[in-house]
Amino acid sequence: MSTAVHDLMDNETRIKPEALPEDRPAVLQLRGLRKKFGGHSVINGIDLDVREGEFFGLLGPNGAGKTTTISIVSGLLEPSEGSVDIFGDKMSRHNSKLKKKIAVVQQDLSIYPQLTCMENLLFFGGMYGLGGRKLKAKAMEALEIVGLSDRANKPRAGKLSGGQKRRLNIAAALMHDPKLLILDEPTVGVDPQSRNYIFETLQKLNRDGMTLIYTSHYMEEVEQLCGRVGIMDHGEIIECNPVPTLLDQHGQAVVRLKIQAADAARILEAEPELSDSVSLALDTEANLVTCVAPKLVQALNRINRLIGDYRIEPVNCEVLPPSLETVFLKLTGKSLRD
Amino acid sequence: MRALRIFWKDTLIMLRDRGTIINLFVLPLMFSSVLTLALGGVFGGGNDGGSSTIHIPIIANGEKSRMVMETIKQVEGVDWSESTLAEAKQKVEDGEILGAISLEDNPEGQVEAVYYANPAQLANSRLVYGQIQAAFSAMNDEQKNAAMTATIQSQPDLNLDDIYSQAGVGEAIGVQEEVVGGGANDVEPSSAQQYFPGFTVSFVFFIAATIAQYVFMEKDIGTMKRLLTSPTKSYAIMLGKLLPHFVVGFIQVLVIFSTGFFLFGLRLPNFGSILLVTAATVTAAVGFGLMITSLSKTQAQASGVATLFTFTLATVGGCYVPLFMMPSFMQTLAKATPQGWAMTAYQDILLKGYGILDVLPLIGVLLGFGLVFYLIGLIRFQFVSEGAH
Repeated sequence: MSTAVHDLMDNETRIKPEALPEDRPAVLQLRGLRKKFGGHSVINGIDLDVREGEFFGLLGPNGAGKTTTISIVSGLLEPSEGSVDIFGDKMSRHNSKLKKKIAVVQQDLSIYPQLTCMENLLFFGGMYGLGGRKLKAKAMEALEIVGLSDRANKPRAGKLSGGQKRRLNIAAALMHDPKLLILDEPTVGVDPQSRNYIFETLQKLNRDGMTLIYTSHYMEEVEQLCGRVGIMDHGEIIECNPVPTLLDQHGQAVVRLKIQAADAARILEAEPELSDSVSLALDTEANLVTCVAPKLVQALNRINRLIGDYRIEPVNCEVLPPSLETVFLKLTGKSLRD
Repeated sequence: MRALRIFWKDTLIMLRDRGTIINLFVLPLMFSSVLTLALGGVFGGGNDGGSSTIHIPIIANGEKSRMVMETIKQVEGVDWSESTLAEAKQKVEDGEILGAISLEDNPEGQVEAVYYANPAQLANSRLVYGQIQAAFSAMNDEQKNAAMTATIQSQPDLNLDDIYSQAGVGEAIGVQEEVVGGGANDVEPSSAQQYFPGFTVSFVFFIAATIAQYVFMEKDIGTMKRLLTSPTKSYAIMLGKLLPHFVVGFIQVLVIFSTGFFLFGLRLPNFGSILLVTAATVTAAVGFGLMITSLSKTQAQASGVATLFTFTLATVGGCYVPLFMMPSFMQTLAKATPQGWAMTAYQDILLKGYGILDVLPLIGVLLGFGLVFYLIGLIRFQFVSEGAH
C-alpha cells in the first residue's frame, strides 16, 4: 500500500470535503474554451462552472492542459476560442479590476530567493496597490496564516526549506484577499509536515468563504481536499463530478498479487488468456497478477480463488480500494504519475 | 508607483548580488586603473601635461640662425636635437613628435623662424611654441638694448625716434607657426584619457548582460507570471525592470570617472556635457540590453551574446585602442557602433574641452541607436514564452 494511501487512511480527523449545492452562483465559467499553439491544439473545448465557495480539483496527467487552462483563467494567455467569465466579468490580459479578485499560486516557486519573507510579501502586496501600514499588517497576517511569522525577516527566502518556500508562495497569493484562489500543484517537493500545514490552511480559507481551484498529480490530495473534481486528458474535461459520485460510477478496486515465477508459468500454461467477469491480468515478466473489480470484495474473492486453484504461495499482496487513482486509471487508461 | 516598487526590488536584489557588483564596478575600475598605470608611457601626454621629456628637432641655416638656435636651446625641459627640415617635418606629420623649429637667414640678413606644430597634440605643442616665442622675445629685447646703448654712446645728440631708427628697433624676428599633418581631429590621449572613458563605455554596455540576467531570472523563477497575473500593467513591469539599469549606468560612470579624477589626475572639463553624454550612452546601453534580451531564448544565450557584442563593439569602437591608431576601415566601422560614438563624445570633452553644443550631434546619434534598440526590443519582447504551459 502506498504511503499516501496510508496517510489518508490514518488521518481520521480530517474534514471530508463535500460538494456544494448547485444553486450557488458560478464564480468561474468556461465556455467552449480552446487554445492552439501554432497548429497544435492544447485545449479542445472546455465547458466548466466552478461555484462560489467550492473547493474544485482539476486532475490530469502531464500535458493534459491543466496549466494552460489555468494560464488562460488567470489572464496570462488569451484563448484561441471561447470565453472565461469570472464573477460575471470577462477575463482578459488587461482586466486589472478582475485580477484584483483572483490569485494564482504557480507551480514554480514564484518568490525572490534574495529577499526575506517580509520583503517578498511587501513587494507582491504593493503590486496589488496596497501600501503603508495596511500593507505591513497584511504581510504579517499572511505570514501567520501560513505559519511563517517567525521567519519574517530572517533568513532570506532562498534559505528556507522547500516546504516553507511553498508556504511563502501561498502567503504571497493571499496578500490582497482574493475571492478566487487558483493553485497549480502547490505541494510539489513538500515534506509531509508542510503539506499537512498547507492543507489545513487551504481548508480554513475555504471554510472562510474563499473559492479554490486546485490541480495536482497527487490524487489523494484532491480526494482529501476537493468536493468536486474535473478529470482532464488531451485538453478536455472527460469527467466532472463530486468525488463520491466519481467513485460510485468509475471507482475500481485493485488487488496486486506478487507470485513465484514457477506459479506464473503454471497459470500461463493452464489459462493463456486469463480473464473473466472481473478483470484479471498476468504479467509473467514481473510475476504479478492484477485483479481489477468494481468492488474490493469481488477482486479479493477472485484472487483467493486463483490462489486455491493453483495452490499458489504468494510473495506479496497489495490492495487498493476504489479511489480517484483507480477512477483516473479507468477513465484515461493510464496512471496519473506516468 | 508600481514601476518604482519593481525598481526598488530589483535594486535591492542587485545590491545583494556580489557578482553583479564585481562585473559592473570592480572590473572596469580594475582594468582602467591597471592599464592606465601600465601603459602610461605608451600613450601621448594628452592635454593635461606629461612629465616625460619633450623632443623638438631644430634646424638652423646661416650664421645668425645658428646664434638664435643657441639661444633657443637654453629653454629648459626640452630635448633639442639638430635634424634636417624634411626629416623633422615628416616626424611631425607622423605624429611622432610635438613639433619642430626651422631657422633660416634670409637675403636681408634677418632670421626667418617657422614652428611646425603637431595637430594631434596641439595643446602641448603650443606650450612649446610659447616657450620658443618667449625665448625669441627675450633675445630681441637683449639685441635692441645693446643696439640702442651703442647708438646713444656714439651719437649722444640724437632724439629718441632717430635712436630707435638707427638701432633697428621694430625689426625684431618672430616665429611663424605652421600646423602640419592632416589629423587635426586625432588628438592623442593620455592613458587615463583613453582607459577611463574606454572601460566606462565598455562596461556601461555590459549592462546588457545584467538586464538579460534579471529579466530571465524573473521568468525562470516564475515571478514574471505572478506579476502578470497581478493588476500591474506590462509597461510598468518593463519600466521597473529597466530603471535600475539607468541608475547603475550613471553610478558606473560617476564612480569610474571620479577614480580617474582623484587618483589619476584625469581632468573633467564641462561636467554638464559629460552628464549629457552619459545619459545618452546609458540610454543606448539599456536599449541594447533590452534588444539582446528580447532576441534571446535563455539567459545563457543572452549573456553569451551580450558579452560577445559588448566587448567586440567596444574594441571596434575604440574603447581599448584609440581610434586614430586604427586602420581607416576600422575607423569607419567604429561609426557603426554606439560605443564608438560614445568614446568620441567623451574624448572630445576630455581632450578638446568640447561643450554641450559641440557634443549634441554625437548625443543625437547615440539616442538614435537607442531608439532603434528599444523599437526592436519592445516589438520582440515576450513577457511569457509562447508554447504549452
